[in-house]
Amino acid sequence: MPDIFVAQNNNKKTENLLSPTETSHKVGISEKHEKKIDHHNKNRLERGIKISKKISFSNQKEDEEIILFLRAHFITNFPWITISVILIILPIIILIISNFIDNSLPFVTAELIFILILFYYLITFAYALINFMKWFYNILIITNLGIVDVDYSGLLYHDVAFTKLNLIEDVNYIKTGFLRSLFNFGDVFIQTAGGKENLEGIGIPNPSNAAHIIADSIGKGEGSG
Amino acid sequence: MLRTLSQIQLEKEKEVDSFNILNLFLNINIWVKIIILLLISMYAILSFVIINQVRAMNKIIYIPSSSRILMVISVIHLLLSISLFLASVVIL
Repeated sequence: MPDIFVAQNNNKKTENLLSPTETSHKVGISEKHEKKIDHHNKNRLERGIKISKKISFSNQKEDEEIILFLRAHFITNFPWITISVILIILPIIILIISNFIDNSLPFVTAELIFILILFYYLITFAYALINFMKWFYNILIITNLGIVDVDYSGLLYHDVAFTKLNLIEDVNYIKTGFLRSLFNFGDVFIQTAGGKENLEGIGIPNPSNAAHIIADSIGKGEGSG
Repeated sequence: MLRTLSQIQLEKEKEVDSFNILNLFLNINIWVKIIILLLISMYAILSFVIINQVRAMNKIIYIPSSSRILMVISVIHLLLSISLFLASVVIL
């Protein structure tokens, strides 16, 4: 019986399977420079581990170590910071304009205006605080045993999902738009097995690296978690 | 039946009192003050909710210095809202 499909030898694929040193020789990077890059990456990794060792989360096991700690890029805070700045400036503009308009309302006293301005600035402060909390508490943690996804989308709603590494099926990331390309951030989506909910990291800096690290750890940590 | 002068005066005073109370209810200043006090008290409750949320989230994820700073900020926010309420009670 003749073969329906015969796979051709893919030479390109074998090239990619070369070790990093071999690849660097091919690309033309000197060994000295390569060592420098390795040393720099190692230092960055060590620094990352030092930070992550201080961080703890609920249901963390004794032998559980944080590999990646992901939070949205700081530039994602730009809209609410801009709105807050506008809200801070707005009363000053209104006060300047009101100097040219006669006060026709008899119940608007100086004391009332003073209290209202203080109240307004307190509300602005709360707006900024709540938005900061939304950014601060939206976290995706990858440990050696599983993934923890903390979603905080308002004062009255937060969702925490724990998933074992062996339940992860697929990882993908999306990086679209001018700002996302400029600041190198995007969304990472992690699909889990069965009826388990999918995890996501929105506006994660360097999403390709994060997706690769998560993809590398798929299937690890079996029998644990 | 003859009424004494003092009785007539008393009746007049009562009429004036009831008129004052009615006037007070119709006065917009009072309503503005009540509404502002209600809003600020509701805001104080909201700031208390923020503290509870920060406490709950810090139990879920604890980042040593940052979590503590956020807790301090939310407590300051609550104190500010309570002091604004007290100030508006006194000033208005």
